[in-house]
Amino acid sequence: MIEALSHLFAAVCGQNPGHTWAPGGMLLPCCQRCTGLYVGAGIAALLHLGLRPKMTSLFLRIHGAFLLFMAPFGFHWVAHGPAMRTITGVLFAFAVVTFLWVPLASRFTFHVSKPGVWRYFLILAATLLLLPLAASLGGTFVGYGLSLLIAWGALALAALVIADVGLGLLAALRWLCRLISLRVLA
Amino acid sequence: MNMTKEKRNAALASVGLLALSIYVMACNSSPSFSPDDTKVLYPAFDPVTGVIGMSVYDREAGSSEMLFLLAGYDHGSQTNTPPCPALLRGQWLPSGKDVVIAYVGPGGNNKEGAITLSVIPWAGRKPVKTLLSECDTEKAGEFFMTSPLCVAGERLFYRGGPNQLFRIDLRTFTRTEHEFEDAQGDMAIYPAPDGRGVFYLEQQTDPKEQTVFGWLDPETFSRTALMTTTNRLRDETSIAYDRQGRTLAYLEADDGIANLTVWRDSQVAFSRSVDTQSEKLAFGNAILTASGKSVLATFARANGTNATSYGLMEIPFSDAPAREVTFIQEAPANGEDSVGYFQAALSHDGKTVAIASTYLGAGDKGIKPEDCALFLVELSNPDWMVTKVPIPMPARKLAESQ
Repeated sequence: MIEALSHLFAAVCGQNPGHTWAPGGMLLPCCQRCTGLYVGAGIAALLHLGLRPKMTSLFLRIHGAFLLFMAPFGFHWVAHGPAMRTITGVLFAFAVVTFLWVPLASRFTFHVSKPGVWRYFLILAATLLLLPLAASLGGTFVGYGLSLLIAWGALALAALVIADVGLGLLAALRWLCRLISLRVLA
Repeated sequence: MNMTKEKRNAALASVGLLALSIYVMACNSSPSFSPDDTKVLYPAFDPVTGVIGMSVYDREAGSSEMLFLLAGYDHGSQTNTPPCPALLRGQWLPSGKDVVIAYVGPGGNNKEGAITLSVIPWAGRKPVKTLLSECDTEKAGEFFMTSPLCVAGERLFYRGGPNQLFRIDLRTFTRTEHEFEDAQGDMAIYPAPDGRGVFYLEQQTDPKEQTVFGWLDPETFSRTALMTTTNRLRDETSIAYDRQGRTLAYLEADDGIANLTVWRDSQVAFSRSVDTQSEKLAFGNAILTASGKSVLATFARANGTNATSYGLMEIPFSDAPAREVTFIQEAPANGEDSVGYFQAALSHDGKTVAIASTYLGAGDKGIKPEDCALFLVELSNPDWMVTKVPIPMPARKLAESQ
Protein backbone atom coordinates (compact mmCIF):
# COMPACT_ATOMS: atom_id res chain seq x y z
CA MET A 1 0.00 0.00 0.00
CA ILE A 2 2.77 2.42 0.97
CA GLU A 3 4.57 1.72 -2.31
CA ALA A 4 1.46 2.53 -4.35
CA LEU A 5 0.76 5.69 -2.32
CA SER A 6 4.38 6.77 -2.62
CA HIS A 7 4.17 6.38 -6.39
CA LEU A 8 0.93 8.41 -6.52
CA PHE A 9 2.23 11.21 -4.30
CA ALA A 10 5.43 11.47 -6.35
CA ALA A 11 3.35 13.51 -8.80
CA VAL A 12 2.54 16.20 -6.23
CA CYS A 13 5.32 16.03 -3.64
CA GLY A 14 9.09 16.39 -3.80
CA GLN A 15 9.39 13.41 -1.35
CA ASN A 16 12.74 14.63 -0.05
CA PRO A 17 13.79 11.75 2.25
CA GLY A 18 15.54 14.23 4.56
CA HIS A 19 12.21 16.00 5.05
CA THR A 20 10.00 12.93 5.41
CA TRP A 21 8.74 11.35 8.64
CA ALA A 22 9.69 7.71 9.10
CA PRO A 23 7.64 6.27 11.99
CA GLY A 24 9.07 2.88 12.90
CA GLY A 25 11.62 3.28 10.08
CA MET A 26 8.85 3.39 7.46
CA LEU A 27 8.99 6.45 5.23
CA LEU A 28 5.60 8.11 4.78
CA PRO A 29 4.46 8.60 1.17
CA CYS A 30 5.00 12.36 1.23
CA CYS A 31 7.21 14.95 2.93
CA GLN A 32 6.66 16.44 6.40
CA ARG A 33 4.84 19.53 5.14
CA CYS A 34 2.63 17.50 2.80
CA THR A 35 1.87 15.11 5.69
CA GLY A 36 0.54 18.12 7.55
CA LEU A 37 -1.33 19.29 4.46
CA TYR A 38 -3.10 16.02 3.68
CA VAL A 39 -3.75 14.83 7.25
CA GLY A 40 -4.92 18.37 8.08
CA ALA A 41 -7.16 18.48 5.01
CA GLY A 42 -8.73 15.15 5.91
CA ILE A 43 -9.46 16.27 9.46
CA ALA A 44 -10.66 19.73 8.39
CA ALA A 45 -13.06 18.20 5.86
CA LEU A 46 -14.48 15.89 8.55
CA LEU A 47 -14.86 18.83 10.96
CA HIS A 48 -16.70 20.94 8.39
CA LEU A 49 -18.99 18.02 7.64
CA GLY A 50 -19.58 17.05 11.27
CA LEU A 51 -19.44 20.31 13.24
CA ARG A 52 -20.38 22.80 10.53
CA PRO A 53 -18.75 25.79 12.21
CA LYS A 54 -20.30 29.15 11.41
CA MET A 55 -18.35 30.93 8.65
CA THR A 56 -18.23 34.31 10.32
CA SER A 57 -16.02 37.08 9.05
CA LEU A 58 -13.64 36.47 12.00
CA PHE A 59 -13.52 32.74 11.25
CA LEU A 60 -12.57 33.46 7.64
CA ARG A 61 -9.98 36.08 8.62
CA ILE A 62 -8.31 33.64 10.99
CA HIS A 63 -8.07 31.14 8.16
CA GLY A 64 -6.70 33.84 5.87
CA ALA A 65 -3.94 34.33 8.44
CA PHE A 66 -3.29 30.56 8.44
CA LEU A 67 -2.85 30.74 4.68
CA LEU A 68 -0.42 33.66 4.91
CA PHE A 69 1.45 31.92 7.73
CA MET A 70 2.70 29.41 5.14
CA ALA A 71 4.56 32.04 3.07
CA PRO A 72 7.64 32.70 5.27
CA PHE A 73 8.07 28.98 5.93
CA GLY A 74 7.10 27.63 2.51
CA PHE A 75 9.49 30.02 0.77
CA HIS A 76 12.21 29.20 3.33
CA TRP A 77 12.59 32.80 4.51
CA VAL A 78 12.57 31.48 8.06
CA ALA A 79 14.68 28.52 9.16
CA HIS A 80 12.49 25.79 10.66
CA GLY A 81 12.53 22.11 11.53
CA PRO A 82 10.40 19.01 10.88
CA ALA A 83 7.66 19.80 13.43
CA MET A 84 7.17 23.32 12.08
CA ARG A 85 6.97 21.97 8.52
CA THR A 86 4.10 19.73 9.56
CA ILE A 87 2.40 22.46 11.60
CA THR A 88 2.47 24.94 8.71
CA GLY A 89 1.08 22.17 6.48
CA VAL A 90 -1.84 21.57 8.88
CA LEU A 91 -2.70 25.28 9.20
CA PHE A 92 -2.47 25.71 5.44
CA ALA A 93 -4.75 22.70 4.94
CA PHE A 94 -7.39 24.03 7.35
CA ALA A 95 -7.37 27.35 5.46
CA VAL A 96 -7.58 25.78 2.01
CA VAL A 97 -10.35 23.39 3.01
CA THR A 98 -12.32 26.24 4.63
CA PHE A 99 -12.06 28.45 1.55
CA LEU A 100 -13.01 25.58 -0.73
CA TRP A 101 -15.86 24.68 1.60
CA VAL A 102 -17.43 28.18 1.71
CA PRO A 103 -19.22 28.04 -1.67
CA LEU A 104 -20.51 24.54 -0.96
CA ALA A 105 -21.75 25.44 2.54
CA SER A 106 -23.60 28.50 1.19
CA ARG A 107 -25.10 26.62 -1.72
CA PHE A 108 -26.39 23.69 0.26
CA THR A 109 -27.31 25.85 3.30
CA PHE A 110 -25.94 23.55 5.96
CA HIS A 111 -27.19 24.39 9.44
CA VAL A 112 -24.55 25.99 11.64
CA SER A 113 -23.82 25.52 15.32
CA LYS A 114 -21.86 27.91 17.51
CA PRO A 115 -20.32 25.34 19.92
CA GLY A 116 -18.98 23.72 16.75
CA VAL A 117 -16.47 26.55 16.36
CA TRP A 118 -14.88 25.88 19.74
CA ARG A 119 -14.66 22.17 19.12
CA TYR A 120 -13.28 22.90 15.67
CA PHE A 121 -10.39 24.97 17.05
CA LEU A 122 -9.83 22.52 19.89
CA ILE A 123 -9.40 19.65 17.42
CA LEU A 124 -7.17 21.85 15.26
CA ALA A 125 -4.94 22.53 18.28
CA ALA A 126 -4.87 18.81 19.13
CA THR A 127 -3.87 18.02 15.53
CA LEU A 128 -1.06 20.57 15.65
CA LEU A 129 0.26 19.00 18.81
CA LEU A 130 -0.32 15.31 18.19
CA LEU A 131 0.55 14.93 14.52
CA PRO A 132 4.28 15.83 14.78
CA LEU A 133 4.50 13.82 18.01
CA ALA A 134 2.91 10.73 16.45
CA ALA A 135 5.02 11.01 13.31
CA SER A 136 8.28 11.38 15.22
CA LEU A 137 7.65 8.90 18.04
CA GLY A 138 5.21 6.41 16.53
CA GLY A 139 5.94 2.93 15.26
CA THR A 140 5.00 1.11 12.08
CA PHE A 141 1.27 0.97 12.97
CA VAL A 142 1.25 4.74 13.37
CA GLY A 143 2.98 4.93 9.98
CA TYR A 144 0.20 2.91 8.35
CA GLY A 145 -2.46 4.98 10.13
CA LEU A 146 -0.91 8.24 9.00
CA SER A 147 -0.57 6.93 5.45
CA LEU A 148 -4.30 6.15 5.44
CA LEU A 149 -5.08 9.63 6.78
CA ILE A 150 -2.85 11.16 4.09
CA ALA A 151 -4.73 9.19 1.41
CA TRP A 152 -8.09 10.25 2.87
CA GLY A 153 -6.98 13.89 3.02
CA ALA A 154 -5.84 13.83 -0.61
CA LEU A 155 -9.20 12.36 -1.66
CA ALA A 156 -11.09 14.99 0.37
CA LEU A 157 -9.06 17.80 -1.19
CA ALA A 158 -9.57 16.38 -4.68
CA ALA A 159 -13.33 16.11 -4.08
CA LEU A 160 -13.51 19.72 -2.85
CA VAL A 161 -11.52 20.99 -5.84
CA ILE A 162 -13.76 19.07 -8.27
CA ALA A 163 -16.93 20.33 -6.55
CA ASP A 164 -15.73 23.96 -6.61
CA VAL A 165 -14.61 23.78 -10.20
CA GLY A 166 -18.00 22.27 -11.05
CA LEU A 167 -19.80 25.11 -9.26
CA GLY A 168 -17.58 27.63 -11.03
CA LEU A 169 -18.43 26.14 -14.41
CA LEU A 170 -22.14 26.17 -13.55
CA ALA A 171 -21.94 29.82 -12.52
CA ALA A 172 -20.10 30.67 -15.73
CA LEU A 173 -22.75 28.87 -17.74
CA ARG A 174 -25.53 30.74 -15.93
CA TRP A 175 -23.78 34.04 -16.56
CA LEU A 176 -23.39 33.20 -20.24
CA CYS A 177 -27.09 32.29 -20.56
CA ARG A 178 -28.05 35.54 -18.86
CA LEU A 179 -25.81 37.51 -21.20
CA ILE A 180 -27.33 35.82 -24.25
CA SER A 181 -30.89 36.39 -23.05
CA LEU A 182 -30.12 40.09 -22.36
CA ARG A 183 -28.80 40.48 -25.89
CA VAL A 184 -31.85 38.76 -27.33
CA LEU A 185 -34.13 41.09 -25.35
CA ALA A 186 -32.14 44.11 -26.51
CA MET B 1 -28.48 33.78 -2.81
CA ASN B 2 -27.15 37.28 -2.40
CA MET B 3 -24.98 38.09 -5.43
CA THR B 4 -22.26 39.85 -3.40
CA LYS B 5 -21.99 36.89 -1.06
CA GLU B 6 -21.80 34.54 -4.02
CA LYS B 7 -18.93 36.61 -5.45
CA ARG B 8 -17.15 36.58 -2.10
CA ASN B 9 -17.51 32.81 -1.85
CA ALA B 10 -16.20 32.37 -5.38
CA ALA B 11 -13.24 34.62 -4.55
CA LEU B 12 -12.48 32.63 -1.39
CA ALA B 13 -12.66 29.34 -3.28
CA SER B 14 -10.34 30.79 -5.94
CA VAL B 15 -7.87 31.84 -3.25
CA GLY B 16 -7.99 28.30 -1.86
CA LEU B 17 -7.46 26.76 -5.30
CA LEU B 18 -4.63 29.14 -6.16
CA ALA B 19 -2.87 28.57 -2.84
CA LEU B 20 -3.15 24.81 -3.24
CA SER B 21 -1.79 24.96 -6.81
CA ILE B 22 1.18 27.12 -5.75
CA TYR B 23 1.88 24.75 -2.87
CA VAL B 24 1.83 21.63 -5.06
CA MET B 25 4.08 23.25 -7.69
CA ALA B 26 6.52 24.51 -5.07
CA CYS B 27 6.79 21.12 -3.43
CA ASN B 28 7.37 19.32 -6.70
CA SER B 29 9.97 21.47 -8.43
CA SER B 30 12.96 19.39 -9.34
CA PRO B 31 16.09 19.65 -11.42
CA SER B 32 16.55 17.60 -14.60
CA PHE B 33 18.94 17.06 -17.49
CA SER B 34 18.54 20.77 -17.44
CA PRO B 35 15.66 21.59 -15.11
CA ASP B 36 13.23 21.79 -18.03
CA ASP B 37 14.61 18.59 -19.65
CA THR B 38 15.33 20.47 -22.86
CA LYS B 39 19.14 20.45 -22.67
CA VAL B 40 21.79 17.85 -22.05
CA LEU B 41 25.27 18.53 -20.75
CA TYR B 42 27.79 16.07 -22.17
CA PRO B 43 31.55 15.72 -22.79
CA ALA B 44 32.75 16.51 -26.32
CA PHE B 45 36.01 17.16 -28.16
CA ASP B 46 37.11 20.65 -29.06
CA PRO B 47 37.78 20.39 -32.80
CA VAL B 48 40.64 22.94 -32.64
CA THR B 49 42.72 21.76 -29.68
CA GLY B 50 41.47 18.20 -29.40
CA VAL B 51 40.94 18.51 -25.66
CA ILE B 52 37.75 17.30 -24.07
CA GLY B 53 35.30 19.90 -22.90
CA MET B 54 31.63 20.05 -21.94
CA SER B 55 28.94 20.80 -24.51
CA VAL B 56 25.26 21.54 -24.13
CA TYR B 57 22.84 19.89 -26.56
CA ASP B 58 19.58 21.73 -27.08
CA ARG B 59 16.98 19.03 -27.70
CA GLU B 60 14.47 21.43 -29.26
CA ALA B 61 16.90 23.16 -31.62
CA GLY B 62 18.85 19.95 -32.29
CA SER B 63 22.16 21.77 -31.96
CA SER B 64 25.14 21.74 -29.60
CA GLU B 65 27.24 24.48 -28.09
CA MET B 66 30.65 24.08 -26.44
CA LEU B 67 30.49 25.45 -22.91
CA PHE B 68 33.78 24.67 -21.22
CA LEU B 69 37.29 23.58 -22.15
CA LEU B 70 40.15 22.69 -19.86
CA ALA B 71 43.70 21.77 -20.84
CA GLY B 72 46.77 21.22 -18.73
CA TYR B 73 50.45 20.35 -19.03
CA ASP B 74 52.13 18.00 -16.60
CA HIS B 75 55.49 18.88 -15.05
CA GLY B 76 58.22 18.29 -17.64
CA SER B 77 55.76 17.88 -20.49
CA GLN B 78 57.63 17.81 -23.81
CA THR B 79 54.76 18.62 -26.17
CA ASN B 80 53.49 21.91 -27.57
CA THR B 81 49.86 20.87 -27.75
CA PRO B 82 47.56 20.18 -24.81
CA PRO B 83 48.45 16.58 -24.12
CA CYS B 84 45.98 14.86 -21.83
CA PRO B 85 42.27 14.52 -22.36
CA ALA B 86 40.71 15.79 -19.18
CA LEU B 87 38.11 13.60 -17.49
CA LEU B 88 35.45 16.18 -16.81
CA ARG B 89 32.18 15.69 -15.02
CA GLY B 90 29.33 18.14 -15.17
CA GLN B 91 25.97 18.71 -13.57
CA TRP B 92 23.22 21.30 -13.86
CA LEU B 93 22.46 23.12 -10.66
CA PRO B 94 18.82 22.96 -9.55
CA SER B 95 18.11 26.53 -10.65
CA GLY B 96 19.01 25.62 -14.23
CA LYS B 97 20.94 28.88 -14.44
CA ASP B 98 24.37 27.43 -13.71
CA VAL B 99 26.40 24.35 -14.45
CA VAL B 100 29.10 22.89 -12.21
CA ILE B 101 32.04 21.10 -13.80
CA ALA B 102 34.51 19.06 -11.77
CA TYR B 103 37.92 17.80 -12.69
CA VAL B 104 40.84 16.09 -10.94
CA GLY B 105 44.31 16.51 -12.34
CA PRO B 106 47.62 18.30 -12.07
CA GLY B 107 47.43 21.60 -10.28
CA GLY B 108 48.30 23.42 -7.11
CA ASN B 109 51.71 23.19 -5.48
CA ASN B 110 51.78 19.55 -4.47
CA LYS B 111 52.38 16.38 -6.42
CA GLU B 112 49.03 14.91 -5.42
CA GLY B 113 47.21 17.24 -7.81
CA ALA B 114 44.03 19.21 -7.25
CA ILE B 115 40.29 19.10 -7.59
CA THR B 116 38.99 21.90 -9.79
CA LEU B 117 35.38 23.03 -9.58
CA SER B 118 33.97 25.60 -11.99
CA VAL B 119 30.53 27.14 -11.72
CA ILE B 120 29.57 28.37 -15.16
CA PRO B 121 26.58 30.61 -15.76
CA TRP B 122 24.23 29.30 -18.42
CA ALA B 123 21.45 31.88 -18.23
CA GLY B 124 22.64 35.48 -18.02
CA ARG B 125 26.01 37.14 -17.83
CA LYS B 126 27.84 36.41 -14.59
CA PRO B 127 31.45 35.64 -13.73
CA VAL B 128 32.68 32.08 -14.12
CA LYS B 129 33.83 30.94 -10.67
CA THR B 130 36.62 28.39 -10.32
CA LEU B 131 37.87 26.74 -7.16
CA LEU B 132 41.16 24.89 -7.04
CA SER B 133 41.43 22.62 -4.02
CA GLU B 134 44.69 20.75 -3.51
CA CYS B 135 44.34 17.06 -2.73
CA ASP B 136 45.70 16.09 0.68
CA THR B 137 46.75 12.62 -0.39
CA GLU B 138 47.44 10.77 -3.60
CA LYS B 139 44.29 8.74 -3.00
CA ALA B 140 42.06 11.82 -2.72
CA GLY B 141 41.82 12.23 -6.49
CA GLU B 142 41.00 8.56 -6.87
CA PHE B 143 38.22 8.78 -4.27
CA PHE B 144 36.83 11.83 -6.04
CA MET B 145 36.75 10.19 -9.44
CA THR B 146 35.34 6.84 -8.34
CA SER B 147 32.33 8.44 -6.65
CA PRO B 148 29.42 9.88 -8.63
CA LEU B 149 29.37 13.67 -8.84
CA CYS B 150 27.24 14.45 -5.84
CA VAL B 151 25.43 17.78 -6.07
CA ALA B 152 22.65 18.54 -3.60
CA GLY B 153 21.03 21.92 -4.00
CA GLU B 154 23.87 24.38 -4.43
CA ARG B 155 26.41 22.24 -2.60
CA LEU B 156 28.80 19.65 -3.88
CA PHE B 157 29.93 16.72 -1.75
CA TYR B 158 33.00 14.60 -2.34
CA ARG B 159 35.01 11.99 -0.51
CA GLY B 160 38.50 12.83 0.59
CA GLY B 161 39.13 9.41 2.14
CA PRO B 162 37.28 6.21 3.17
CA ASN B 163 35.47 8.06 5.97
CA GLN B 164 36.12 11.66 5.09
CA LEU B 165 33.66 13.94 3.34
CA PHE B 166 33.98 17.47 2.02
CA ARG B 167 31.11 19.84 1.34
CA ILE B 168 31.63 22.81 -0.94
CA ASP B 169 29.10 25.63 -1.00
CA LEU B 170 29.05 26.50 -4.70
CA ARG B 171 27.94 30.10 -4.06
CA THR B 172 30.67 30.97 -1.56
CA PHE B 173 33.16 28.10 -2.12
CA THR B 174 33.15 27.55 1.64
CA ARG B 175 34.62 24.12 2.35
CA THR B 176 33.44 22.02 5.29
CA GLU B 177 35.22 18.83 6.25
CA HIS B 178 33.51 15.99 8.07
CA GLU B 179 34.98 12.78 9.44
CA PHE B 180 32.62 9.86 10.06
CA GLU B 181 34.23 8.81 13.31
CA ASP B 182 31.50 6.32 14.21
CA ALA B 183 31.48 4.63 10.77
CA GLN B 184 31.99 0.88 10.90
CA GLY B 185 33.36 0.63 7.38
CA ASP B 186 34.01 2.58 4.19
CA MET B 187 31.48 5.25 3.34
CA ALA B 188 30.36 5.97 -0.21
CA ILE B 189 28.00 8.77 -1.19
CA TYR B 190 25.44 8.99 -3.99
CA PRO B 191 23.32 11.91 -5.16
CA ALA B 192 19.56 11.69 -4.73
CA PRO B 193 18.04 11.38 -8.24
CA ASP B 194 16.26 14.72 -7.90
CA GLY B 195 19.39 16.54 -6.73
CA ARG B 196 17.91 17.37 -3.34
CA GLY B 197 20.15 15.39 -1.09
CA VAL B 198 22.69 12.69 -0.51
CA PHE B 199 22.45 8.96 0.10
CA TYR B 200 25.25 6.95 1.65
CA LEU B 201 26.38 3.34 1.62
CA GLU B 202 28.29 2.18 4.66
CA GLN B 203 30.01 -1.14 4.08
CA GLN B 204 30.27 -2.46 7.61
CA THR B 205 32.68 -5.23 8.43
CA ASP B 206 32.47 -5.25 12.19
CA PRO B 207 30.68 -6.81 14.09
CA LYS B 208 29.21 -8.40 10.96
CA GLU B 209 29.50 -7.89 7.25
CA GLN B 210 26.57 -5.87 5.98
CA THR B 211 25.82 -2.76 3.96
CA VAL B 212 23.76 0.09 5.35
CA PHE B 213 22.01 2.36 2.88
CA GLY B 214 20.70 5.61 4.23
CA TRP B 215 20.12 9.32 4.04
CA LEU B 216 22.81 11.84 4.84
CA ASP B 217 21.63 15.18 6.15
CA PRO B 218 23.39 17.73 3.92
CA GLU B 219 23.35 20.29 6.76
CA THR B 220 24.52 18.32 9.75
CA PHE B 221 26.10 15.23 8.11
CA SER B 222 23.93 13.09 10.43
CA ARG B 223 22.97 9.72 9.01
CA THR B 224 19.56 8.03 8.96
CA ALA B 225 19.72 4.35 8.04
CA LEU B 226 16.97 3.42 5.57
CA MET B 227 17.83 -0.23 5.05
CA THR B 228 20.45 -2.82 5.82
CA THR B 229 21.42 -5.40 3.24
CA THR B 230 23.62 -8.46 3.42
CA ASN B 231 25.06 -8.15 -0.09
CA ARG B 232 28.82 -8.09 -0.26
CA LEU B 233 29.63 -5.31 -2.68
CA ARG B 234 32.38 -5.73 -5.21
CA ASP B 235 34.10 -2.98 -7.17
CA GLU B 236 32.02 -3.85 -10.22
CA THR B 237 28.67 -3.82 -8.41
CA SER B 238 26.38 -1.14 -9.81
CA ILE B 239 23.71 0.25 -7.54
CA ALA B 240 20.42 1.94 -8.37
CA TYR B 241 17.92 3.56 -6.03
CA ASP B 242 14.76 5.60 -6.10
CA ARG B 243 14.56 9.19 -4.93
CA GLN B 244 13.09 8.27 -1.56
CA GLY B 245 15.59 5.52 -0.87
CA ARG B 246 12.84 2.92 -0.51
CA THR B 247 14.19 0.67 -3.24
CA LEU B 248 17.82 -0.33 -3.67
CA ALA B 249 19.00 -2.54 -6.52
CA TYR B 250 22.37 -4.25 -6.89
CA LEU B 251 23.47 -5.31 -10.36
CA GLU B 252 26.52 -7.42 -11.13
CA ALA B 253 27.76 -9.41 -14.09
CA ASP B 254 29.46 -12.68 -13.34
CA ASP B 255 30.64 -15.01 -16.14
CA GLY B 256 28.02 -13.69 -18.53
CA ILE B 257 25.18 -13.88 -16.03
CA ALA B 258 23.66 -10.62 -14.83
CA ASN B 259 22.56 -10.90 -11.21
CA LEU B 260 19.99 -8.42 -9.98
CA THR B 261 18.91 -8.12 -6.35
CA VAL B 262 16.24 -5.64 -5.31
CA TRP B 263 15.87 -4.64 -1.67
CA ARG B 264 12.94 -2.91 -0.01
CA ASP B 265 12.67 -2.24 3.71
CA SER B 266 15.78 -4.32 4.47
CA GLN B 267 14.30 -7.36 2.73
CA VAL B 268 14.99 -8.89 -0.65
CA ALA B 269 11.91 -7.95 -2.66
CA PHE B 270 13.08 -9.57 -5.87
CA SER B 271 16.10 -11.26 -7.39
CA ARG B 272 16.82 -12.75 -10.77
CA SER B 273 19.58 -13.75 -13.13
CA VAL B 274 19.75 -12.94 -16.82
CA ASP B 275 21.87 -14.97 -19.20
CA THR B 276 23.53 -12.26 -21.26
CA GLN B 277 25.02 -14.75 -23.76
CA SER B 278 28.51 -13.46 -23.37
CA GLU B 279 31.21 -14.64 -21.05
CA LYS B 280 32.60 -11.19 -20.73
CA LEU B 281 29.99 -8.63 -19.87
CA ALA B 282 30.39 -5.63 -17.64
CA PHE B 283 27.92 -3.02 -16.48
CA GLY B 284 28.56 0.71 -16.27
CA ASN B 285 26.16 2.62 -14.07
CA ALA B 286 22.64 1.49 -13.19
CA ILE B 287 19.52 3.65 -12.84
CA LEU B 288 16.07 2.79 -11.55
CA THR B 289 13.35 3.60 -14.11
CA ALA B 290 10.63 6.11 -13.26
CA SER B 291 8.07 3.33 -12.75
CA GLY B 292 10.41 1.64 -10.25
CA LYS B 293 9.74 -1.69 -11.98
CA SER B 294 13.05 -2.18 -13.78
CA VAL B 295 16.65 -1.10 -13.83
CA LEU B 296 18.56 0.43 -16.74
CA ALA B 297 22.29 -0.13 -17.12
CA THR B 298 24.94 0.58 -19.71
CA PHE B 299 26.96 -2.48 -20.69
CA ALA B 300 30.08 -3.57 -22.55
CA ARG B 301 30.08 -7.02 -24.10
CA ALA B 302 33.19 -8.73 -25.48
CA ASN B 303 32.77 -10.02 -29.02
CA GLY B 304 35.61 -12.53 -29.23
CA THR B 305 38.96 -11.23 -28.06
CA ASN B 306 39.39 -8.16 -30.24
CA ALA B 307 36.12 -6.28 -30.16
CA THR B 308 33.61 -4.93 -27.69
CA SER B 309 30.04 -3.72 -28.18
CA TYR B 310 28.42 -1.06 -26.00
CA GLY B 311 24.76 -0.55 -25.28
CA LEU B 312 21.91 -0.07 -22.84
CA MET B 313 20.01 -2.87 -21.09
CA GLU B 314 16.72 -2.81 -19.18
CA ILE B 315 16.14 -5.62 -16.70
CA PRO B 316 12.57 -5.80 -15.36
CA PHE B 317 11.80 -6.76 -11.77
CA SER B 318 9.86 -9.75 -13.10
CA ASP B 319 10.58 -12.80 -15.18
CA ALA B 320 10.02 -10.84 -18.40
CA PRO B 321 13.03 -10.91 -20.73
CA ALA B 322 15.64 -8.17 -20.50
CA ARG B 323 15.64 -5.65 -23.29
CA GLU B 324 18.70 -4.11 -24.86
CA VAL B 325 19.89 -1.80 -27.57
CA THR B 326 23.46 -1.75 -28.90
CA PHE B 327 24.90 1.59 -29.94
CA ILE B 328 28.46 0.58 -30.83
CA GLN B 329 28.94 -2.80 -32.49
CA GLU B 330 32.64 -3.28 -33.11
CA ALA B 331 34.82 -1.16 -30.86
CA PRO B 332 38.41 -2.15 -30.12
CA ALA B 333 38.66 -4.25 -26.97
CA ASN B 334 39.75 -1.92 -24.20
CA GLY B 335 39.05 -4.15 -21.25
CA GLU B 336 35.88 -4.39 -19.22
CA ASP B 337 36.73 -1.34 -17.15
CA SER B 338 36.17 0.91 -20.16
CA VAL B 339 32.40 0.65 -19.60
CA GLY B 340 33.00 3.00 -16.66
CA TYR B 341 33.48 5.72 -19.28
CA PHE B 342 30.12 4.94 -20.86
CA GLN B 343 27.57 6.08 -18.32
CA ALA B 344 23.89 6.88 -18.68
CA ALA B 345 21.75 9.65 -17.21
CA LEU B 346 17.97 9.62 -16.96
CA SER B 347 15.91 12.74 -17.57
CA HIS B 348 13.77 13.81 -14.64
CA ASP B 349 10.55 12.98 -16.45
CA GLY B 350 11.99 9.46 -16.75
CA LYS B 351 11.36 9.35 -20.48
CA THR B 352 14.83 9.81 -21.95
CA VAL B 353 18.24 8.29 -21.34
CA ALA B 354 21.41 10.08 -22.50
CA ILE B 355 24.79 8.40 -22.97
CA ALA B 356 27.93 9.90 -24.53
CA SER B 357 30.73 7.77 -25.97
CA THR B 358 33.27 10.62 -25.94
CA TYR B 359 35.68 9.00 -23.50
CA LEU B 360 35.65 5.74 -25.47
CA GLY B 361 37.03 7.79 -28.34
CA ALA B 362 39.70 9.45 -26.23
CA GLY B 363 41.83 6.40 -25.48
CA ASP B 364 44.72 5.07 -27.55
CA LYS B 365 42.50 2.37 -29.04
CA GLY B 366 39.56 4.66 -29.73
CA ILE B 367 36.23 3.90 -31.32
CA LYS B 368 35.43 4.73 -34.96
CA PRO B 369 34.59 8.42 -35.58
CA GLU B 370 31.01 7.50 -36.54
CA ASP B 371 30.52 5.80 -33.16
CA CYS B 372 31.52 8.88 -31.20
CA ALA B 373 28.15 10.38 -30.33
CA LEU B 374 25.63 11.44 -27.75
CA PHE B 375 22.89 8.79 -27.77
CA LEU B 376 19.42 9.82 -26.63
CA VAL B 377 17.01 6.94 -26.07
CA GLU B 378 13.29 7.72 -25.91
CA LEU B 379 12.01 5.15 -23.41
CA SER B 380 8.40 6.26 -23.91
CA ASN B 381 8.62 5.10 -27.53
CA PRO B 382 7.77 1.36 -27.67
CA ASP B 383 10.67 0.84 -30.10
CA TRP B 384 13.12 2.83 -27.97
CA MET B 385 13.78 5.43 -30.62
CA VAL B 386 17.48 6.44 -30.54
CA THR B 387 18.67 9.89 -31.58
CA LYS B 388 22.36 9.93 -32.39
CA VAL B 389 24.04 13.32 -32.06
CA PRO B 390 27.51 13.04 -33.63
CA ILE B 391 30.44 14.25 -31.54
CA PRO B 392 33.09 15.36 -34.05
CA MET B 393 36.48 13.92 -33.25
CA PRO B 394 39.45 16.27 -33.49
CA ALA B 395 41.62 16.14 -36.63
CA ARG B 396 44.45 14.51 -34.68
CA LYS B 397 42.21 11.66 -33.55
CA LEU B 398 40.72 11.26 -37.01
CA ALA B 399 44.20 10.90 -38.51
CA GLU B 400 45.05 8.24 -35.93
CA SER B 401 41.89 6.28 -36.63
CA GLN B 402 42.45 6.18 -40.41
